[in-house]
Amino acid sequence: MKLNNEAAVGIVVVAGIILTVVAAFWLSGRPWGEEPIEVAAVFREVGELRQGNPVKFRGVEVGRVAGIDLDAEGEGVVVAMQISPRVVPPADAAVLLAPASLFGDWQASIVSRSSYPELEFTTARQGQVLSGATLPDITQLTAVGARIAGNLETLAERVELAFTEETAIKIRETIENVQAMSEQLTGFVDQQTQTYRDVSQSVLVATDNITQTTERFDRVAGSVEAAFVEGGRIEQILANAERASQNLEELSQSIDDAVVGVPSLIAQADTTIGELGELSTSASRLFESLGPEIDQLGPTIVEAREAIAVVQRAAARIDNGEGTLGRLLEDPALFEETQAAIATLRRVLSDLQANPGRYIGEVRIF
Amino acid sequence: MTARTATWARPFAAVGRSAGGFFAAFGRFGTFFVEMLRSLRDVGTWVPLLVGQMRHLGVDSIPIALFLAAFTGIVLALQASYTFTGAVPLYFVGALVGKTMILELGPVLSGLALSGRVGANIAAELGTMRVSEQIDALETLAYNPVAYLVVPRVLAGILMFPVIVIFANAIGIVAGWITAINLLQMSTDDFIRGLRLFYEPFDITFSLIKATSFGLVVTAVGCFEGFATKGGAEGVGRSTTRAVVISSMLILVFDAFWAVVLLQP
Amino acid sequence: MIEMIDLHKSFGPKVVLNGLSLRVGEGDTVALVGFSGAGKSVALKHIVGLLQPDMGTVRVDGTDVPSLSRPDLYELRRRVGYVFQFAALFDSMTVAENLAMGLIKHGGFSKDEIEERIADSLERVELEGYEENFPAELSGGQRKRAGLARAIAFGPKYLLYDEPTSGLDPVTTTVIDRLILKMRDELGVTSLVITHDMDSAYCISDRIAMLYDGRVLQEGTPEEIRRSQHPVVKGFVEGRPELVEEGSGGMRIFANTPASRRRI
Repeated sequence: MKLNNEAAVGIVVVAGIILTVVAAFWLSGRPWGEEPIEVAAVFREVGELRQGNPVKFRGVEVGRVAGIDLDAEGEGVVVAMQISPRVVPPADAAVLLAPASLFGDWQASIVSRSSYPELEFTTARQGQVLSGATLPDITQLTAVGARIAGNLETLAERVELAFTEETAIKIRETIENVQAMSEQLTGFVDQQTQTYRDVSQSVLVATDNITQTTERFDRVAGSVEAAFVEGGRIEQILANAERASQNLEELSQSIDDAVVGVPSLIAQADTTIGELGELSTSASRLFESLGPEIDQLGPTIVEAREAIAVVQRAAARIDNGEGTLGRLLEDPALFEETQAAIATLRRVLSDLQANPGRYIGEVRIF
Repeated sequence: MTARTATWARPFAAVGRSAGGFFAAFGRFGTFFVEMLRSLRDVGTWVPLLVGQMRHLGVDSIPIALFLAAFTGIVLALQASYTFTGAVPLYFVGALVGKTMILELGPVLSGLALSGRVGANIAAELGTMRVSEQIDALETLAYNPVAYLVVPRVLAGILMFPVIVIFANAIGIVAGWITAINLLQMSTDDFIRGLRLFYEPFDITFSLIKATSFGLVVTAVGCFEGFATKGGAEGVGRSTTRAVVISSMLILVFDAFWAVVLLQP
Repeated sequence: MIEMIDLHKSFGPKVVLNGLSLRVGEGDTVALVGFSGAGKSVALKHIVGLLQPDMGTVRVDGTDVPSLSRPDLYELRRRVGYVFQFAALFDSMTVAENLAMGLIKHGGFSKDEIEERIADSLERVELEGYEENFPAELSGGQRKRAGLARAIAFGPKYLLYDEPTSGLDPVTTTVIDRLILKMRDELGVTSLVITHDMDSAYCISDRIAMLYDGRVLQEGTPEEIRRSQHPVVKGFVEGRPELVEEGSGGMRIFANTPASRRRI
């Protein structure tokens, strides 16, 4: 069937008009059958935002930018947006403009102002004009990035100057030393802690015995005295004296019993403490060799150094003859201090062993 | 030419002549155009012919325009992906196809194709009528030949070119879309996302403004050249060529003109 | 009555009419003869306002044609039928549609009247049954007759023939000549016939005017022209170039002819 001219032209023209309207509507991405609502916001500047850019709410596209114009006072830019009526803006709603991608397309987002405390929003105006803020253009970010990169370069140059080969070798040696030493220390501390526990246990038993013995000696002495005071009854005195000597004999026996295991313990303790002293001295030397910068390495190292100092003090005292086991017994504070110091040292060293990078990293930054 | 031109002055004389000829042609075209506007009043003459010309110049031109647009769309999509590889996300293929098709290639390529089909057709037809005295015959039968021959053709061009271009745009984009999902492994969602990315409502208006101006240019130049035909079959050939060349050039000039006037921020 | 008074017309540097004056009285048939390219067609076109004179004027029934407004010019053209040299039929239309063109435009005819007039006109030119043919399907003679039919369809008072018999065989020429006479007798039209065929001119015209060098060289009855002693007229009438050369004082005419034959 051949169409006559009127029909052919009519069909084509009507189809063309329908196509235009549908295409324009479809391309604009507006939802069908919904009457959009108008929202406006004021900005100091709008970057690369253009009419037709998407408006998002919670990440969902809900409308389009309908118009952009300077406000009446010329102090800001009013952006009109058409959005879906389903959007329920938050009470402190504001509009944030930001690049949608790296390629110059922008978007407007309806956000809650309180979610962005660091941003400076314009003041909302009367008549349903929301406040707004504009994120820096990606090009500005790039500029900042470039500046940072420049600074890093300078820094790297300086580091290169300071970081000679010699320094590197030294640091490496140091790290190796620290590692070896920390392993050694950890093993030693484990062993010694056990020894100390045994020693202290024995010492406590011994002291108990001595105390008991002393108490009995007091009693014996008391009864001897009483016998002298009473006088007269010689048999009674003799008997008392006999009992007293017996008691003394028992006492000396029990003292003997108490003391018999002690010397070896003391000897053992002395050697261990001596060894400990040497180790802490070498540890201290090591930390000093790391240079003055080590002071900045934070509380852990400081703590470690203090602990080492305490151990050194203890070792020194023992060396001076003050510090026999008896001395330790008389001064429980010193004993506890030593134990705490050893625990701390152990913690630091295991940390050092586990994360040498942490210390080295800090060293590197200067 | 009574005085002989000195040898050295001949190139200048040629320049002078062609400058004079250019302005004379301009003037003649202006007169022709004014005559055309004046003939619009002769409603009774051109109205019955309008629909026929809309069919002949418009509806019948749709296949060639669509053919051209479909292949353009395919090539655009492939070239876009070829250019973007790695650097730019693939959904920009949609943006490029849509924008280029609507703003530039839809109207301009259709315009150029129709300057060949429509412009040449008009110039040859009216040129033949001129040399065979049919236009004079119209005059003697008390017809205004401009109202009878020119106005319906120019109006048909103005009215139908935008319609053709809309179809061409749509087919170009659809062809690009089909290419994108079949050959570029893009998803329809990606393509549409790109398509909408930089879309502005003014794009379609711009496309239609261009199409309308091209419709005017192609038909008016064709009619002018046809009417100005002299000298038999050879003259008709010359007019036809001139119509196509001049209207193609004017299409490009108008293309730039609208871009400068309407797209500058 | 058609009056051409001191017509001047140039195309660029080429002077075509140089003071042409000619009168065609009511009911007369005047033949305007002359060499090819002498400006006969140009003169004819001035009568219906297709060309504007540089100087001088044309009057039809006393109205000054060059000064007519477009609507008045159309009004004038309704009274003048123009038969073109090559018929100038509209290629895209059938013979009947060609004839209807004038009738529709001139208005006042009902559909039936139009059909009746088309049939009548075709009958007069002996082209019955060719209504639905396209011009390309007609022979040269048939086309001329169709052109004549189109010119007489709306009943003009004047008929202008531009070379009605050129390019036709002798028999067809005679047929056309008879048609011209028939139109005069049956329709009572006033005719101006352009021709360079002297046999036709003698046969159809009451008066003959010889156009030469842009103006009328001699005008008279066919008999007067036939007996003319003017060398150019005599040379033209008898087909003797040497007489024309003698009369024009040299080679001028024939030196010019090839150039002037080119259509303007």
